[in-house]
Amino acid sequence: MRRALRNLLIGSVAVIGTCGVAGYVIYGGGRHQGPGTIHPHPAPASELAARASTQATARAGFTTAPPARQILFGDLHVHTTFSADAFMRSLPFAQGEGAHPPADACDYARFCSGLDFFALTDHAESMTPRHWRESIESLRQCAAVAGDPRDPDLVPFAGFEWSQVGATPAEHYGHKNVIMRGLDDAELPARPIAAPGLIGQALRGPGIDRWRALQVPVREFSQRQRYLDLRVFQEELAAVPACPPGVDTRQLPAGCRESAATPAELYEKLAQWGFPAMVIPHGTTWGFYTPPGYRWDKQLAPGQRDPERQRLVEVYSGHGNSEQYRRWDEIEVGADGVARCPAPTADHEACCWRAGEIIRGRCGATPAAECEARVEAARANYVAVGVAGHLTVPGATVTDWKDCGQCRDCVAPTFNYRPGGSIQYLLARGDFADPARPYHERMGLIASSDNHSARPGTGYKEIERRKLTETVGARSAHWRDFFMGAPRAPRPTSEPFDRARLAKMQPWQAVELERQASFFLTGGLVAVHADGRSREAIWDALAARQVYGTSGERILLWFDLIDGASAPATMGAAVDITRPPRFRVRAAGSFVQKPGCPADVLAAVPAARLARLCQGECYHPDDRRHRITRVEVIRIRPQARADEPVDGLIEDPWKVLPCADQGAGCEVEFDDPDAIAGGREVLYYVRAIQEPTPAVNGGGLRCEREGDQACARLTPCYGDFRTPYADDCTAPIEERAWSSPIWVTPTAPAGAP
Amino acid sequence: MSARPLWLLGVGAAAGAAIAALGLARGPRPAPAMPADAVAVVNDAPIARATYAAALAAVAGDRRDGAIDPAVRQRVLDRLIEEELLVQRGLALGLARLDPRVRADLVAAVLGEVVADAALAPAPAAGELAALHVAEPERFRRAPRVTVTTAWFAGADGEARAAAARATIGDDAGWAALRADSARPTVVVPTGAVPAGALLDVLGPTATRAALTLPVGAISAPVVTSGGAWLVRVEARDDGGVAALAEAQPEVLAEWRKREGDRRLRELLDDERRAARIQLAPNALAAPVAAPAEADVDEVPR
Repeated sequence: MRRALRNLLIGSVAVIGTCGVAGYVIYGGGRHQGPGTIHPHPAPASELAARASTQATARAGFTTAPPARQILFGDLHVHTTFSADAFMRSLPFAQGEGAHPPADACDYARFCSGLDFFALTDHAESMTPRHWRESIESLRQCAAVAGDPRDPDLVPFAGFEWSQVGATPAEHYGHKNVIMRGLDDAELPARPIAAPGLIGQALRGPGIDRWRALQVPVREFSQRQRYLDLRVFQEELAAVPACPPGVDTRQLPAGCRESAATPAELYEKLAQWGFPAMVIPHGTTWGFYTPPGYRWDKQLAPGQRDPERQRLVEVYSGHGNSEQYRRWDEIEVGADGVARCPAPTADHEACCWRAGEIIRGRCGATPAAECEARVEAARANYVAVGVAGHLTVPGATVTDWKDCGQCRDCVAPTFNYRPGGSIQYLLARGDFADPARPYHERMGLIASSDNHSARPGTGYKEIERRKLTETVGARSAHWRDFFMGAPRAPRPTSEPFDRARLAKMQPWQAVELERQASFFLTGGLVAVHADGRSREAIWDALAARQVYGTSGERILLWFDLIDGASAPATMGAAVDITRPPRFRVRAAGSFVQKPGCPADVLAAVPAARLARLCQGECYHPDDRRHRITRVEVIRIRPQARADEPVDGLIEDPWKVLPCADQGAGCEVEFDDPDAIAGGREVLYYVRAIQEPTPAVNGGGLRCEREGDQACARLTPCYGDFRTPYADDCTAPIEERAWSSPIWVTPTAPAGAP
Repeated sequence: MSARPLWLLGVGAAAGAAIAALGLARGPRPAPAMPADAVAVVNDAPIARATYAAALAAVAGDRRDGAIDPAVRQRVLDRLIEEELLVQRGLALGLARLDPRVRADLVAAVLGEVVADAALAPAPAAGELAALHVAEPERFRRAPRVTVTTAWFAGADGEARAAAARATIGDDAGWAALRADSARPTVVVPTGAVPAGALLDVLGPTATRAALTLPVGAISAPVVTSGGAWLVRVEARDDGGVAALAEAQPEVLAEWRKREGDRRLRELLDDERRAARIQLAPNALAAPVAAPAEADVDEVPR
């Protein structure tokens, strides 16, 4: 008996011990992924070598002369794997390539894309105090090796993304980046300011249920470290307590999660800090999370606007182009306040409508009346759940949805386009709460990348869709089913969803990840006309709206008012005119790129680092330029009264000015003889259009027209295993640059009666 | 067994019984006095009323209606008490020493305190900054800048015309005349002193290289680009040089503060080392190098 008990005891200890060891091997060892190490090389070797080999004579007084005005390129929207969604997409199941911490962003900007400045804008909702601290420290190290602060080779800015999402248009404000000027403690908030609500819950949540989370390290044993590290990240996030509300941001404890529910609260907190900060809305038309029917309007209201801090808006990113306004919308809200599904037009089919058509296609021999009832129900069900509408049609595939919800005649538009957030709409719309002082946005236009792998400025070469764009997807059907659930079988009727049921789902199941994959592009760029390369010079140019955006190519653009006002003015200016305004546009295409990396970069950076970070391809210009084919002028007359229809005020294009560019650039002039007689403020901005070149996902869903059908067949570019990993899905697009507007207001000339 | 141990055992048992009886008679040990600003005391560690109030406010902020009922108050207080118990447990278990995460956070917090103190230190005497500037001038070296002027020859025959023109330029006046006669380029070439990088996006790599390498006053060979050719003349070049103290004052001060932080940290560490008992194993420096940590680079599975 005693022997049996002893054996039982020994056996139990052995089993428990074995389980413990196995448990530790499988689940132990998660660790915090730090900020990485910046490659310590301040300046391109060729520059230094040239300096040493030159027998130069410096002229007296040269060193104190102010630098000349120059165009500098940057990216003000960059995520690292300090953002929870970036971490998720870096995992092996999603064909991710591993951690990309803040140090990677610095090295990428310096050596791969050769930028002049960039900002880190990780999601505030998923940053812990440690992440914030390490991110700032990494940026300081990046600046510390940038050389002469008057002419640094690279200027890093600190920032965060306030990622607000509302389930309904009334609750939705959208995402905004907040960028600070300096890197000293006195010029930085103690913690990033997050948005409460849907996105925060999604980013801080586990993404999958506990049982599946336990399985992953077993199923991916050789890759388990990344999953364990994610777990550490999520535990650390969950442990950060919410800051008490209603307390001055400067009095809050350092280690809490601070929230601002609306732009007004965000501006208030930034005002409490008091240091220079810039708020840049972005993805304003991106329907991935923006509810159908959303419009910018409520952000014009007093309190929700801040013309001092919100001076720029992102027109383009790796998520697409948000520029153009269209009359159609995803839903129609009647006078009774009820949302309905709009009928299709030649240039748009709402997805609620397509939901009905998919169900119609499944009617078979069902009597017509019954079929029509199902169709109507499908439309209504879709409308009822906003961005999750796709869930209401069981078994519908990406090809079933065709190109519904998309802006068919836009260039590289964002997915599920929301025209009420378009740049043209927000520039045209006014707020008339104070009739004596109507308010209109005056924002400069920029572009950036919204890259999630610490790669600022990815648009210099159209390569590596899976790594340089936000494309993400399971590497096999097994992993897709594991995380997203197996595809449902088609059913003849639509399935209603209510918000309670949606709330129980994993957040990534409630959005259209599959269709979205065809719309991810390489990143855009912000260009500044700056009086020098210093941090202050770049900041001043941004604040003065002397900026423009490009779709990623380094197009050079100048847009100036040369007559009509008392003095010439450049893009971003708001001026009074006494004569019809005359404008000059000069544009030069980007340089053709040579393969590989420049010799100085090859000499400065270890080959393995270049291979992983830059994929062996850097910004490497040839002497030849792409041609600019035309300049398009857009004229917008901002609303003079609240009920003035916006679509009649936006003229796009107002003028098309062809270019006979042979590669040296294009210069055109135009005027507006009607500007004075109109008697109201007018704004003009220009698009410089470059000759077509291949671009990643340039074809979007790759629709084929047939007769009246705009998208009879389509070949989506999937993010998952269905599209070969090496297929970049390139198609020609016309890369472009968008100037900031020039606002002109006619006034009586001096001395006039 | 002798009688003595039994006697001793009896005395010990009697003493134990007496002490136990005394303890019973005295009742439970009185709790320490509650500090006025505390809402609870956990093993002598007070939980401040302000902490409790802040926690309640945070919970209220997360609730849609902002309401806090007695049950929620109790839950929040329990949570704070349990948090304190966990902290005490963690300290008792030595997590501050053993857990790499806690250790790293502690180290970062102490470093941050020291550096923050240094940032608030009074400004140094001018002599200290001057000494630093003299001692390490390379830290305050300016980036090189170059000033160029250009002549643009548009068209397919631009290269030939540029070469011919270049051959005939005699002096500064000749160059000025040539520039006046040549076409105005579309791009705007920076007219002042700029780092070479500023020329790259305007003139292209070949012309930029020429600007970097030609002697001052020299004119480049024609640089062919699409649509024409450039001639580039280097007007001036500043190879950087060390900035004067007056100009570099902010950088020198920042560097001084950084060093002051380093110095204070060193001082702190030296004090701590002096006060601490540190023993080194005889073969401490011969310890084997641990295997490198697993790389954070994943092979992308296909």
